[in-house]
Amino acid sequence: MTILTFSIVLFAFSCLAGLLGALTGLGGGVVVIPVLVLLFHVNIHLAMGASLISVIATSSGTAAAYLREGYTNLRIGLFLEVAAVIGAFIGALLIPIISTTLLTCLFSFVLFFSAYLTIRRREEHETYQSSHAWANYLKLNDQSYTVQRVPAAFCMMGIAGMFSGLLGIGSGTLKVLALDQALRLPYKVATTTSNFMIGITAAVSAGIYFKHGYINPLICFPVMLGVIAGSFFGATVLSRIETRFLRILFSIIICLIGLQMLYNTLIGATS
Amino acid sequence: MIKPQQMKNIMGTLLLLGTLLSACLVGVGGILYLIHYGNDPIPTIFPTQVWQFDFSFTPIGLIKIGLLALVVVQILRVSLLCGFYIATRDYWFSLISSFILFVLIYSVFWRA
Repeated sequence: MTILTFSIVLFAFSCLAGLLGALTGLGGGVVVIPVLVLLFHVNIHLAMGASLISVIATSSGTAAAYLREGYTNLRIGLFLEVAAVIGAFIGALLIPIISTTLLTCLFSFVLFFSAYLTIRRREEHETYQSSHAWANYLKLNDQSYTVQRVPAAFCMMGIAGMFSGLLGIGSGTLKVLALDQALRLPYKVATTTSNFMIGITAAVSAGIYFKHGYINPLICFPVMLGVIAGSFFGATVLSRIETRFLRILFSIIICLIGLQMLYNTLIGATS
Repeated sequence: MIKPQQMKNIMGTLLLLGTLLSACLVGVGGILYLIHYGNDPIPTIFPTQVWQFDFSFTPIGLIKIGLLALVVVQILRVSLLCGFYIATRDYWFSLISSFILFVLIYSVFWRA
């Protein structure tokens, strides 16, 4: 295969990843990494590096629109980002110590978990009159909602950051879970604030990935451009189609990919 | 005094322009690379190569500058927030954003 064919095929897959990411709320990383590892037999570390770059690009590219809408809660985002950057820093430093087999198993587990969270129907929260003491002290509340269980969300963000650094993903699913289920924020606020945080967390990991040499320009180039193109297209053109069916379909595909990665690793087919 | 929503708009514009600039650099570098070396076979194993900041205007150099720009935009956005909270004398959030800024800069530019 020539470099030209490699770049074009990878670009096409990354477009698809970005598109699916924008439509279902799952990031592009969960598609990009398996495509690189299973289809092109790229080392999982380099696949994670390329995924991380695509994560920063989509988060920054789409944040502009979200910030203008005004849903993003910067104070909550920044406060929880403290835990996320520490987690990401530790996670990214741990990679050379951890075997690729364990990394792949961990990644498959994250795929299954994301698929489960995507399919699950969301329940509406009850309304709260008061908010958590920390939230009052740090002025995290908004006129239209209150903020609950701040310490729990802080711990979850640390774990989310760790996964982000360890696996080269945005771990948006876990971040939204913390904002939605622990802080009890309205869903729109949770998703936009998570999107705001992802870029910063991923940039911390990327800094360390540069040092490890996990960011290969030739792989990152088609992946980054493809994911940006796909996610912009998904966000602008296809935002109004019914995504429930798509989410279920996508979750099934993700589970199959996870099984394939697990199978390959455990029988030693991938390095 | 600058309002939070104004600051959000400034940051949104910064992020959009930064991402576009980075994508343009990566795109130009990538296309130049494909013109020159597109017909070479892909390496059987992609090397892991530690980054040196010796940027040159070769195709690969341009892609690297573009990728680094993407990360630098994140540093700029946290700096913007940091400046905003210092200007509004919000001490807790000045401290929080300074800490995040420190971790970011440290992880990107620190070389052991």
